[in-house]
Amino acid sequence: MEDFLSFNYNELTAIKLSLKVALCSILVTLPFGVLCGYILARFSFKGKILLDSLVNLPLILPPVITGYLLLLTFGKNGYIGKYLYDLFNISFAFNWKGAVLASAVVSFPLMVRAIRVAIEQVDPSYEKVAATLGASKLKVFFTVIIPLAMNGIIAGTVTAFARSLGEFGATITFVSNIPGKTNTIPIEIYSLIQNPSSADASIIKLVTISIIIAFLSLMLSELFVRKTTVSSKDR
Amino acid sequence: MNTIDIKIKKQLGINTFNYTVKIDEFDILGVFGNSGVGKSTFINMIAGIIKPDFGYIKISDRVLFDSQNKINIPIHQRNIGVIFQDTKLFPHLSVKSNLLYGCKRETGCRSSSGDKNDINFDNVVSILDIEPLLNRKPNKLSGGEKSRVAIGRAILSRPKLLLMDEPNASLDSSKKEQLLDLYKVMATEFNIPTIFVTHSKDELKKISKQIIIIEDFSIKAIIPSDTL
Repeated sequence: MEDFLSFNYNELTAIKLSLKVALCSILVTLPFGVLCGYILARFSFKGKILLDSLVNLPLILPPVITGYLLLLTFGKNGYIGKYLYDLFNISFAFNWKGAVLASAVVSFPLMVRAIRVAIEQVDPSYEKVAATLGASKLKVFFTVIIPLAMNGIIAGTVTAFARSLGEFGATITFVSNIPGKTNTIPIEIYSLIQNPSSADASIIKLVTISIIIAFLSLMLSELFVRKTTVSSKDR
Repeated sequence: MNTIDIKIKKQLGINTFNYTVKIDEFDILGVFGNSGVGKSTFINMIAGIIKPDFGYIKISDRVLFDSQNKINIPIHQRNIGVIFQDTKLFPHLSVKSNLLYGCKRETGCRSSSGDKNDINFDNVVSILDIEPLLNRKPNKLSGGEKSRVAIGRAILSRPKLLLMDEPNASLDSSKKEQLLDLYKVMATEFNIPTIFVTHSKDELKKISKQIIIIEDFSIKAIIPSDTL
């Protein structure tokens, strides 16, 4: 047990890859998540239920189906992937960018949910006051709505980050298990379990790391959610 | 010349709001009515927060709304300051940042001339006597302090018209007196035409000469305040 904190090359690669994928995933989704949460919180329009359902679909869809749909759409011969590759030389197939895409799609609903709730809690009369002071809708968005919903935005981002770290089904379906490229922590654990002779110590270490990160993320997110409710009472 | 020329109609649920009023000169115009008769709706339509169904709103020859010509200037371009009953200071900003929120970028609310009546940060802060509060957050202010910051914030956006919707409703009577004087000073010092809404006759007698009476969602009369 003394070498518990020392990782071998494979373990380290999996941990680094997981963090990189999860980090990129939230960076890519954050602007869309804020925009989507804002639209769902503040506007009513035809097709709102459709948008709402579409955003939340990956939450209840079996991840393997999400992964398969991504393969159909963004694979090298996919409906969109084909053009992305021909025109911009961008490919999501069997590389870490694909893992980012899969994580982003799966964690997106969690992020939007938290942000939407936070924006719904912002008293709309602050927006009206800002407008009477000459602020355009854009200025109101950045100087009133975002700061007042900030705790919820952070909480949603942290939750999405944790969810991204745990992404397995959609990722392995979409980009498979390629050592050093797409074997994030869950996928590395899965392949270690497949091989009966493999070292149990590796599995335990990766499992522990996963639990610690997930636990810290949830606590952090809970902390921000609590701060939000306290400060909105304060107003 | 500060003039008002309004003829608007709005159906909200079972209530029909009907406001017709023409006033040729005013500095502080009072609006009187019991609660729930449509005072706030009147104010909100002038500010652009509620859109009338028909009619027009002209303030000092500027058309803000005209259903016939499809004109409806958005709130942020109307240049009308509003002071709401519960001040609505931005809770995430300091008093100073609240005051500066509506400042136009070119001027930054700094003093541009030596003129005593110039609307600038230092003048407004000193008249309202809020210098010691500048670095505080709104949740660390008393009710009266919040009101003073709210009026400062509205004035610094250099509005062409100031609307006050029962700004004193939540304060105790000794504070009310003080603030009422302050409102009068601000309106006259900086030469900003003001519409002051309240259900208190005493307040109106003190602050304005002309009063609009609202009853049953429409304007019943315009009278001098001493006959109220």
